[in-house]
Amino acid sequence: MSWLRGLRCRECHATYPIDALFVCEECFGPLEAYYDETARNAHVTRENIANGPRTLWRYHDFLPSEYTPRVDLNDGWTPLLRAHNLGRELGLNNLYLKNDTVNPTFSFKDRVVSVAAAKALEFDLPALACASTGNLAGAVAAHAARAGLPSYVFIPADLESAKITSAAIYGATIVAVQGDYDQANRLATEAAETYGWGFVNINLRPYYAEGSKTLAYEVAEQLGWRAPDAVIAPVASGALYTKINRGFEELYEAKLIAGPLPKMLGAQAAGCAPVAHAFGRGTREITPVKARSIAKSLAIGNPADGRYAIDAARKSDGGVFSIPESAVAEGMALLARTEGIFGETAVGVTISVLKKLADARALDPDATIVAYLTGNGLKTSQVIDNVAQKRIDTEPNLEAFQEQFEPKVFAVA
Amino acid sequence: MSTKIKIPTPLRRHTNGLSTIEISASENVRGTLHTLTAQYPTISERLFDGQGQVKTHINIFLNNEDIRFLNGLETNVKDGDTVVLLPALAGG
Repeated sequence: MSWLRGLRCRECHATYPIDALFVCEECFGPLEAYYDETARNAHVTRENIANGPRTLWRYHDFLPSEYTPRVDLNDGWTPLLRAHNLGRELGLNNLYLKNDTVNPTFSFKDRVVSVAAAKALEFDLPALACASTGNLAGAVAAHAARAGLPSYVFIPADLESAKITSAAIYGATIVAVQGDYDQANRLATEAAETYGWGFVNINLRPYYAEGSKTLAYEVAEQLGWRAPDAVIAPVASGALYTKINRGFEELYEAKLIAGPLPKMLGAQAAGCAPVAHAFGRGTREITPVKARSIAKSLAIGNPADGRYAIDAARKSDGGVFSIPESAVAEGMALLARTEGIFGETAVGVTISVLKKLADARALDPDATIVAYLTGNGLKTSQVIDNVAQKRIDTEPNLEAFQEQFEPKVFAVA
Repeated sequence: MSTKIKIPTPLRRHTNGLSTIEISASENVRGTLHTLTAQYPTISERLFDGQGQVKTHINIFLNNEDIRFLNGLETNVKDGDTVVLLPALAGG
């Protein structure tokens, strides 16, 4: 059974039935899933969870849908890795990496879509759709294929070609919008009102967003049912960041972990940093910007959950910070070089903000810190084309190779 | 001389179910919305807060552009323009 009881407005708390709804008719505020938390918290145990599937559905008691294997691509339950090498470079002795680059479509978006697709089937919707900066498009297209539904993905026309390909291959109809993400999103919002499709991040958004909480649950379980001291995640709409925070709160309320809860650290790139700017100015009101970042998966100029991200940052004694655009690829290279993980631009942003905070001595060196690696670098590889390569061009014989190789080794030494 | 206003689903119960409303053109977006709220008074408190500001969770577009990137409520409206009201939400 599901403990979901309905939808509730985040602003005015008006309640609505379980349906494909997303906006409050009274105040236009966003709707959120709410649960019978008292009954659920009396029911859940660490053992029940440990006996569940090795996917995010092991936490189905905290999700707004039953476990529905027919749209399950084994999403979630990704590795949590200790990062000794990167930790040494940054002066952090207990650094961990939550590697969501190894999800079925190579980003954390599989988590949210897994939940949204389950709801779309439950509501008997005829198609899956989304507005996307890229990763979501692939996740929607793959889960729609698995569920036997058509899919429609609305993307900015200038998106990285690998992200377009990785949605198109599953048979999605690509709607390439002449404009930025915010304009693609605007068209998708109008389309959601016109067609009866399940737009995962529009009319299924209250359910979809819940999937991100599993990033908190998994980290706590993988640390032996313990909250880290701090976590760092990228901020685009702010939904991922706020739901990670909510996930830790829920585990605490269910007495599955003890406090204190982690400091929430958020990362943006300078080309699109409206949440970091608002945090720095000491306000929760976001001033929308025209997004101009190479971290396209974070290029949301009008982030709907930005104010809630700032609330979570303040409440947890964390913060949302930005780094220059030039540091995006540097962060990607630093992670890959030290830990063997090729993350996408959003990951580069996350690692560079972590480095910035570590360099500024803003982090306790012995704190347990988890960095969320939200997407795979192969989808955004063009931004690192200029990274220095260790490359030797040689004829196919050993002498020629040594002629090229040994002077270089000597030069390096 | 007229302007179209597109009404999102959650507001249509205040406009007798109409999704598009054509009104006589005003000088700017503010005037256009005032004409709308004069015709459909219950929509007013859904769009504006106590200080007369557009509520945070509403996006207003003039044709293809968010008015926050134009001149806000003072943005000029021409004959044949479309004002689009939409719930604000976004997530890559």
